[in-house]
Amino acid sequence: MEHKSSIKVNNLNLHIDKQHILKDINLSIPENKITVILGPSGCGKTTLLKCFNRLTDLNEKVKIDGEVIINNENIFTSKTDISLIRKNMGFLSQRPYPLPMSIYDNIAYGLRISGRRKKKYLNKRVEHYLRQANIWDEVKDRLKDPASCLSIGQQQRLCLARGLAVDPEFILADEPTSALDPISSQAIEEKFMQLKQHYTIVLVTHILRQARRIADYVVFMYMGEVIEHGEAQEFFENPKMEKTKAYLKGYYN
Amino acid sequence: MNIHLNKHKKIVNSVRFFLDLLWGIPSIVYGAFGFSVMIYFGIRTSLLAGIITVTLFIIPIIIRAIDEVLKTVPTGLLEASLSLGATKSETAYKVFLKQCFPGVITVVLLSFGRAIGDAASVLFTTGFTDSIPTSLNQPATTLPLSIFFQLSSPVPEVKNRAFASAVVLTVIILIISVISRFLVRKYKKHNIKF
Ligand SMILES: Nc1ncnc2c1ncn2[C@@H]1O[C@H](COP(=O)(O)OP(=O)(O)O)[C@@H](O)[C@H]1O
Ligand SMILES: [Mg+2]
Repeated sequence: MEHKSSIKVNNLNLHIDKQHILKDINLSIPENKITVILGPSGCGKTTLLKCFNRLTDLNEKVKIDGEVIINNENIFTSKTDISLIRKNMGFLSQRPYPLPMSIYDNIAYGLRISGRRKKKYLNKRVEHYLRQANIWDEVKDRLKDPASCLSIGQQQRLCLARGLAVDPEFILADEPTSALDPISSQAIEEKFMQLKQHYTIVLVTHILRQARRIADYVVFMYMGEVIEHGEAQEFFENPKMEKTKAYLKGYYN
Repeated sequence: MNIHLNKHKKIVNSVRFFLDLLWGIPSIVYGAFGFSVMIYFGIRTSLLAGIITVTLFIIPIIIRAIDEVLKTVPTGLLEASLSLGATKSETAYKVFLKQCFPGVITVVLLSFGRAIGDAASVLFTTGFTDSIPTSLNQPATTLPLSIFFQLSSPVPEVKNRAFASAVVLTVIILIISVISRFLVRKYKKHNIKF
């Protein structure tokens, strides 16, 4: 089956100082699917994910060559509008970082910096996205409360809603369930299964079972290299590389 | 801000080291330094000289403590704001400063408390007087110093004034702590704890 690919990575190499972190990555990530980036800790999953919305810019020591092509444009050119790239990618980090403001303002923040200020419009959008992230019923009576009052599972859903509020095409999630309890984790996983109709989702995880549950497409990384990538079913039933087989048997955990 | 500081690691670290040194110097050394400068220029002890000395010794403390506060802001929080498409300056003003604000208030008020309670740095520079100064170039005294001098006086009236000074000092410190508690609580509720 041919995918129309929305993220394409060509010969991507990333160095931090003299360390070679990502080695010659070539990938294409299919549209409207959940792509899982799998691999043991420290293999470069987070770093690869941050390349997609150029959060790697924050570290001065990072040197990148190669291309990341999103919707037919290489994002590593000087012409790239970084804000626009980032708005197009909802980003969920390993642990939730709600902004230091109220629940309402957390969602409205992204809308306001995009220039939306009408009270009525904001109210409607905030409710819409909180519903989207299945958290509306829990917070509708305390929208003015600080976001830091929420439980960590609620905070992660709030961060999801906040990411969706800037109307992205992609969702990048870096081990979004690793700080959560099993119930909250399940809630996030189920949400992703629904969201993939409308979004292209890239999920980083080191939990094999989670990958088996929700992946449509799998990228297996080891020591900064992509060892193997392919359709989930094919990947799990018929791994081609020795390292993949060993990982699936649990040797690296 | 953090983003900027990370760029110039070497310079920043040497400035931090230098400020730490200044912080470690006892306030009486600042007093002695101020005094020798005053002798050099032939200036008499005055309120103004004292104010300058206290400012000099409190500045490294404030800068360095605020620096520590700023360092506690996690990168993940900045990344969260940036990944919503916010620019660096939007992130700095709307997220970074908001997260730091309670810590900065605490630092400023604590340093204020330290400055007002300090005696050694002004021992040489402001001189001593029993009366309230009416202009900046008259000698003056700080509350701890007046307690010290008045208490050692044999005259009971003067001694009583020492106790009065002590009460005033305590009340001022108390008010400062209450205000800082109030401000910090008001602004801290939005802060993310890590
Ligand atoms: N800021 C940094 N400075 C230096 N090395 C880093 C930095 N961030 C990540 N690394 C290195 O990059 C490698 C990959 O890290 P990361 O992408 O976080 O792995 P993963 O998310 O797969 O656990 C690790 O070896 C780590 O030590
Ligand atoms: Mg990681």
